[in-house]
Amino acid sequence: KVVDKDTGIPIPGVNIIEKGTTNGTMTDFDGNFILEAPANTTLVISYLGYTTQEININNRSEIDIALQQGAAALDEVIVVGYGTQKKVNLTGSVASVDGDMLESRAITSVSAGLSGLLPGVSVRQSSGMPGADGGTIRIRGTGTLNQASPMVLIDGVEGSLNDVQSNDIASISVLKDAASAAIYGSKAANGVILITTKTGKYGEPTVNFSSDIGWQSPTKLPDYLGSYDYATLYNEALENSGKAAKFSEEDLELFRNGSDPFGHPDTDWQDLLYQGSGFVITNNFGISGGSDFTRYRASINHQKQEGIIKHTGKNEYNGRLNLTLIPKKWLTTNMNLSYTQMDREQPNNAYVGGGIDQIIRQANRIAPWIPYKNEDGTYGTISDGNPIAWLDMGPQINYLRKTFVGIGSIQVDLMKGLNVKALVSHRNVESDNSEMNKEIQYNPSKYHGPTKLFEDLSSSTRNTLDLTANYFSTLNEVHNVAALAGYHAESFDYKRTTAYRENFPSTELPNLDAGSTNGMKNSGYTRELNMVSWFGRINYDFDGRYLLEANLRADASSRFAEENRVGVFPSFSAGWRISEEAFFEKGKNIFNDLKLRVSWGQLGNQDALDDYYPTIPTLGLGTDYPFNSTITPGAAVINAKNEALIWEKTTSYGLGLDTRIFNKLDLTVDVYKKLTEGIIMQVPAPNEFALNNFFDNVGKVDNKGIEASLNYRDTFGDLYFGFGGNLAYNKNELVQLAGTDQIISGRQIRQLGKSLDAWYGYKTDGLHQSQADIDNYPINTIYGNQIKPGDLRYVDTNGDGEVNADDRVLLGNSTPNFNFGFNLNLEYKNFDFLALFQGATGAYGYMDFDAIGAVNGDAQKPSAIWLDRWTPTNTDTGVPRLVDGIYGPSMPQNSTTSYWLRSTDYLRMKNLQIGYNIPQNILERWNISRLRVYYSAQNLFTVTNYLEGWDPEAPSGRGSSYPVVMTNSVGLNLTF
Amino acid sequence: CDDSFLETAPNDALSPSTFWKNEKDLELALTGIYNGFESGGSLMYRDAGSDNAYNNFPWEGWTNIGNGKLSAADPGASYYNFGTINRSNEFLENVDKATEVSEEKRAIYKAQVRFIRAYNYYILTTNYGDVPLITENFATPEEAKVPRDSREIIRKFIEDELKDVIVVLPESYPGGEYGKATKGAAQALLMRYYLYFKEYSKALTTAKEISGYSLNPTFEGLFDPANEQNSEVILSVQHTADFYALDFTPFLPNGLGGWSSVVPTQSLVDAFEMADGKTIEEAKETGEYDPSNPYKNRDPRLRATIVYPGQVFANQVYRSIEEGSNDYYNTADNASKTGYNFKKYTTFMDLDPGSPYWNMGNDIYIFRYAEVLLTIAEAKVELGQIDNELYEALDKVRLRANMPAVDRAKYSSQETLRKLVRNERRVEFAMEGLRRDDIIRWDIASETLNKDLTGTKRGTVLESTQPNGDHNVSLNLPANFIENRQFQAPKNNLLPIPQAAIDKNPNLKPNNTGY
Repeated sequence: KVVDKDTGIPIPGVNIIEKGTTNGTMTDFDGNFILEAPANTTLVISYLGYTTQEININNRSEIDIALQQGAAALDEVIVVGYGTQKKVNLTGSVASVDGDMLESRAITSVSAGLSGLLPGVSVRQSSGMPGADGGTIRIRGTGTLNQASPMVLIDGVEGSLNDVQSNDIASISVLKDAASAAIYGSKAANGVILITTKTGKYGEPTVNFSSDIGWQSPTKLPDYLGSYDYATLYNEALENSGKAAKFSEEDLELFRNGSDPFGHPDTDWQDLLYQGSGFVITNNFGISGGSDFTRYRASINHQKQEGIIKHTGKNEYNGRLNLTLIPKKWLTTNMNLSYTQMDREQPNNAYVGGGIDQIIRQANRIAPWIPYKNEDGTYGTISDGNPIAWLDMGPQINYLRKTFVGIGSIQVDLMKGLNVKALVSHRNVESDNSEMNKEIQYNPSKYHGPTKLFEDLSSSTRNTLDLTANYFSTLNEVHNVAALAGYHAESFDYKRTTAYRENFPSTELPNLDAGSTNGMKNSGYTRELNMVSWFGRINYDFDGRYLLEANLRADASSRFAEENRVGVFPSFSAGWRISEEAFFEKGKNIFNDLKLRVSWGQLGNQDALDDYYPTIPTLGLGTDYPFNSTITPGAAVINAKNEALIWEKTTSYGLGLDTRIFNKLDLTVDVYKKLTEGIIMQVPAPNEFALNNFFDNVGKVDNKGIEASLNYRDTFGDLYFGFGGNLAYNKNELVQLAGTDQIISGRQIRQLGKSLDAWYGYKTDGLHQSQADIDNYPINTIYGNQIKPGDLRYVDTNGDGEVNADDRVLLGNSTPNFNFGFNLNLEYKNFDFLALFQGATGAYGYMDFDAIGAVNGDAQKPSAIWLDRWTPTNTDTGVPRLVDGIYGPSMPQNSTTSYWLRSTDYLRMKNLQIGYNIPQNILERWNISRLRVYYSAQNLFTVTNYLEGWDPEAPSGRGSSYPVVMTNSVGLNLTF
Repeated sequence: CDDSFLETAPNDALSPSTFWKNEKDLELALTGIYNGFESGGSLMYRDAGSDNAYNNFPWEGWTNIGNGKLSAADPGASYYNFGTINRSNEFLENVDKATEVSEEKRAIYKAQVRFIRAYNYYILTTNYGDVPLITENFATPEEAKVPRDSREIIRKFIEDELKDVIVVLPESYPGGEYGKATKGAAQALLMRYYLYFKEYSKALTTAKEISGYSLNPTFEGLFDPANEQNSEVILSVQHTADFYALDFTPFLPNGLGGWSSVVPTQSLVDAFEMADGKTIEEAKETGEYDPSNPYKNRDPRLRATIVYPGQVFANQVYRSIEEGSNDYYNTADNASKTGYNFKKYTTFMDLDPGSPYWNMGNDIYIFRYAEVLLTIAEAKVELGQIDNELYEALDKVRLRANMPAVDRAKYSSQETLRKLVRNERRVEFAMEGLRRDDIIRWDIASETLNKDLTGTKRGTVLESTQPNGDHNVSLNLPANFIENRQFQAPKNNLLPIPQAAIDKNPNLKPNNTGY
């Protein structure tokens, strides 16, 4: 009998072979098998996803075998483009992770769950907003100035990580180099993520139920000053600019003692804002099984999330059915259906809209001396209104997204080693978004309105057809040849319709018809993109020692003009399994496996632009003008088009080493170079060119890097110990840039020879301590006599005796160059423990005035950092003097200075899990095969030097983003 | 798979290859050029760069132009763009493909477009001096990295173009095309151009050639949205609610939900004469002017231009001088820092305080006939032609505003008349965007701007009222200091070319002197 070592569940379908023979069998539903074999022979027991075991029968007639899950790197089969491959035979660079690393984690998006798991795959989760908390994924750095997200395929069909639930994922493969990704051609330049969903296994129906409840809270919140501190600082700032104080001593005392809560309030806006429960509940129910003719798995997921801010939440349902029918030995049909429906809601305001972003921003700004509510129950306001009043009006924005994916395929085995397959897919995403701006009368003198409603319906459909033929043959037992040939066609259609009305008689009538027909607006457009491709692959290996692979894909896309329409993307790779050589026989005791890999290939990026018609010049409509007060339609060329535009091309080179030492330690090291040429760039059009968006293939970006991953597993008695670590260093360099040396855009610069989008501005070296200090320093022509003691000292970097725009220098990278993750896995008897850490270094974030706060009347408040500001009596500080307003030589607003740039280096505990398996003897009574209960935490703690109160993964700048969240949860997994 | 599968094209835009055929095409493209060729809001902000007004919020672009803190890196409001010029060039390059349209008609289309292009170059050169003269569009951004042409070249271009189009443009259009550039508009721009560059006799000749316009019977009536197409209008920026609306939020008082972004200064208030034609300095001596109740018996244009303390505006008494009022300067960020608010064009709030002021259809004047009259007066003063024609031009403007005619005895010398004409221009056109150019061309900007900017004195609004309904006030507390303003001539006569524009086209270097 064969059972799972961890769960004790019988495993059906396990291969049992008498070693060195073809004599073998399979286990049945209950994991039982019968095999006639000599008394002293050795059995090889193998099953996909489990470590292969060899056991000597030793004259036994009954053998119980417990298979260890997952561990076996040597036999591991990995999903690659249009197929699978044994890991040992891989010649490209593919990282993979099992679905179980995503289980039991209370994660609310698959992308965020990948953080720290795979070398060369960096994930930045910059928000905890329900339904919009996905991470930004970059594979081997950023290779383009445009759309740099990897292509995602689920069960072989292009989709989104949002289409799949973590509980349904069997495995994830990431194709990192051109050798492995070239089969996807013009969409693969940013890497490819292949997700395979769980399927049923041969055997009796298994029912799995898991449930998880958790609570979220912000990882960090900025610390803003209360009324007394702010009022004191405000008076000081006014005095600094020669103005009269706003608050009297009496006012200050009332702020301090809090005895006048309405006249002199001390409102904690952050506290009022973050009143949401943060509650998350996830339920998953799955049934799977299989017989000789069928394999099935059906699952239903539900996740409900209430945000840490009231009225932000999501409700998501997902159903999936994977059904395989095998009516004949030579015929396999497959059907995958999945449907996901996600509702999200947000509050909003009648003033400027902007949803939760605007509410967070205003709560981070509004002064504490403004009361949340006045004594008469009306709201306190500033000119922008009152953010908590907006929140009190309940949800006003609803996003509904429905995604249906259907995949069907037929595979015919024509003869031994040759099959053909046809696969069709249909993916449809319907978005139904509705945004209301409800009018509000805060108090008798402040009104924002009228009520408005904006409806936005969009639908996108992608239909694909893939025809493939696979051939496999072994000649003379040593020449293994595999070949793949295929055809792919796809059509993508998009349609959007919007409608708008205002002046609703009531805020409780959220239908367009209820609004006034005066001022109603609508819009609509369609987009279309079609593609045809041919592709092929040849694998050859000699005796498992010398491995060769070649891929070729030709794509034709409607996005480009006819003469540039076809792109060809080849790749070659080779591997040498040194461990299989005769001369290595002795070494094999130590290095159970040792393989060298080398690869070259080319990929394209046609999704670089959002524009579906980037080469077709047009006159845009809508440049209207109201002659005689009546709108008259106008047309004008607004955007420049470049008919010669073509896809970006990435060439990558790679060298890799895989080894396994003492059957316990797996090590993979890769070095690579990835050069993207013809990057589509908006050529920095001078004002004199006057048109927007002239794009051309004029950029070149080089990424070089090294990646390593290490996995160690061992058992000490009852203790299982596993350690996995990965790290990736990537050097990003801009090689060519639209015929220019540098492009400055706002606070960032793209400069040849440097990393993309580096921070650019003035270096400062401390504060001016006195007027004499200022006079002795190179003259600051940017601010002239506005510079006062306590202001930042701008460095004259070019030494020409004055500080001006020419003294701006590179100040640091905006993206990390070093990403790492590691995990520790312990199991002792029925207990298990997993800790996953993740971190990144080498990047900086800029602290804008919204973040650090400013002394600027009612509409702004300073953060705690300003308590240590420079004053004539507090000179031993780095914090500049206070000014009234958000502008000034030392404020972050106008000039970008190194002072406000802070390192975002961090190390974060991404996941902690402690689990307990209820002992078998208790479960047996209930006919339950497994019950595990656990505690799990996400983002439990972070080590960083970033500005206090700000999360290093959050976007820098405006300071209005939904906080990154920590989740504590408990849950159970039940199988029967 | 047939080829058409890979041939896709947008279904919401026109293709240039099938465009430029008939009159409808030309109308579409012409309208596209009028779209945004001038901004009504921007005209109203522009006085914040002069002694007439103050811009309360630096991010709106006019604070630092007003106080001289502007720099290339932080230039504030920028006029440095060629969008309309590009659309105009595109039109002129293609218009003759539309052979279905008669040559005469095409000539009028072209003349309108050339006028708009000349108008844009006038804005560019008066603000920046030397700028690139672009009359043909560039195929690539690289080609567009052109250096600046001298101001003399630009000026000659503007003058030649306007002279050309004046003879082609019609005097008026059918009613439905109201707002298009007429012969009068081109003449008015040429007149303004000559005046700006001190070619007084040409300015005078051009002004006198402008015919077919007359003053609106009342001054206040000019700014009533119902009367926006009156006989005085030569050219105006057209607006209409919902689709091409003007948002008055920046100009209205905090108490009405406005932002008080652009507010009049005390200096502007003081420029309005007494109702009998005395300056306030003169009236102080006779005791007619009471500094603690200063809004009484003033030029009626003061009440039509500025919301001042004690005035009843939009059915409310404006109480900016009293602590506790919604409009008190430090009550809220959006309370006027000077204690005054913008009234011109906002009188619709008096007519209907519930107006949707964020969505208005008011036309904003670019040229109106009063400017022609005051140009005649100014040119004659500068040319030393002190004669009846000069006085009559001034009188027309003054009498229309219910002010007395010019006192011939008091204003008989070139010097006194120059002062009078300049002041007349200031009060007549306050908040209409002319003042900054005027003080620069008169070389008096350093004198009028290099000062501490203060608002009204504070005090109380009294119960007693004047015949026009305004409450009397008692200003007994000091004025509040707002900022110190600097103007260095000649540096600040021009704006800096924005650093962002130079970063994209280094051939624009060097920047204007001093920046």
